[in-house]
Amino acid sequence: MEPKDLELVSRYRDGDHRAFELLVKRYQRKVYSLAYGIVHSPEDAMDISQEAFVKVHRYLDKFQGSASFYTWLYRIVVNLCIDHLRRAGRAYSVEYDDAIDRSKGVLAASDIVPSRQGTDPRQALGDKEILEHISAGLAHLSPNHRAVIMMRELEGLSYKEMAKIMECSKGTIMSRLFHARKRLQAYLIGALNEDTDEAV
Amino acid sequence: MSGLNDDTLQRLYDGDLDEDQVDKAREAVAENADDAKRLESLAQMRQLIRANAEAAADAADFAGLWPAVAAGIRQDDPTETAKALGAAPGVVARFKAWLGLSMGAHPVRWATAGLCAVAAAVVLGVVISLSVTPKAPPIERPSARSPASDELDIEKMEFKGRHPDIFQIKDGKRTTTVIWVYPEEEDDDDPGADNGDDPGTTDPI
Repeated sequence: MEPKDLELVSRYRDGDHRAFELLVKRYQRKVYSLAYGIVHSPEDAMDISQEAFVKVHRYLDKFQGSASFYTWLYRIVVNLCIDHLRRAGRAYSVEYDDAIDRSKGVLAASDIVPSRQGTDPRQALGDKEILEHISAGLAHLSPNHRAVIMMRELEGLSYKEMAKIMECSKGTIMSRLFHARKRLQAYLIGALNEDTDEAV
Repeated sequence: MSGLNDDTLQRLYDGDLDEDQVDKAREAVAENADDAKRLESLAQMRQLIRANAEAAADAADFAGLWPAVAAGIRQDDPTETAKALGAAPGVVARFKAWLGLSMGAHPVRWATAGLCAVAAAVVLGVVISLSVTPKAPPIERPSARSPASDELDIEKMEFKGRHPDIFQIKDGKRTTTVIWVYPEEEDDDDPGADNGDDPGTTDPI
């Protein structure tokens, strides 16, 4: 049976140095995926992953265990990503469309992955071309929009958890998520259907 | 024509609605093909984002991450604890880990640990009983005087600035007084020796 996160934290505090290595190896993929999803650069995502674990180590004695280790780690990663983008001048202090009334936007009722001849949309998930479009679509979003959509879709964080991590209201999170989805959906429908038209 | 507004649809999809709201929203979706399609579209997007993240992680090389993290920690916190990162755990830590992990789920481990404890107690008992039985007087010093009575006539002495131990060995009716002078200890001039001021000892990690 795999030791739980808190057990590993406790073991590390008791002097078992390997316990921290186990924590790093347990979460390295998830941390990297999240960082990559937000910053969109493999090198930067790896640097942020490293920095996040070093930071976790630095504050491990302050970790109370009231929140899950994972949520705590996630918060550190997201904040590092946003700081990174801010330093690079790629983050917007205000999401201009967060203020727009959501009732004006409508999530489309169409397949994102178009059914090509003989291709099930679900089987198309492994299609390299489609994944490239998703990557381009995410790059099209603002960093804050990417952060919420990654936290929600990759790890299923609740609005409340995301609001805590991003230090904003639940309403702002819902708004960011809505706009992120709408933009990504619009981008993908356009890009993927264009490909389908060309293929036909 | 859509029945649910985007807000409700999104909250339904993300599991943010209350139980009674969920039932109403599901009923609305069941009656409206457009809403069902919008939910399906959100689900497809989630699958694509996850597939994209998996592909990104598959393409990454994590072999260098832990060594880089360990190096970063050493740089961040140059204490003994941090230096030990990356090293194999000590015997005590490994035993504690073995003992601490899933003991409840492994009764065999409890039995093994109990058996080890009993065996250790038996061995300890044998060792103690052997060491208590005197086979021969420790060392007879030529200078040691053997008084005729049990009276200890030397209580304290000093030799080259040191205070030897004085004790008696009883052998039948006779008692031998032994004066044990310890050899000079070497001075510990090792600058790397732990002087108790290591900041690492205060590190709670």
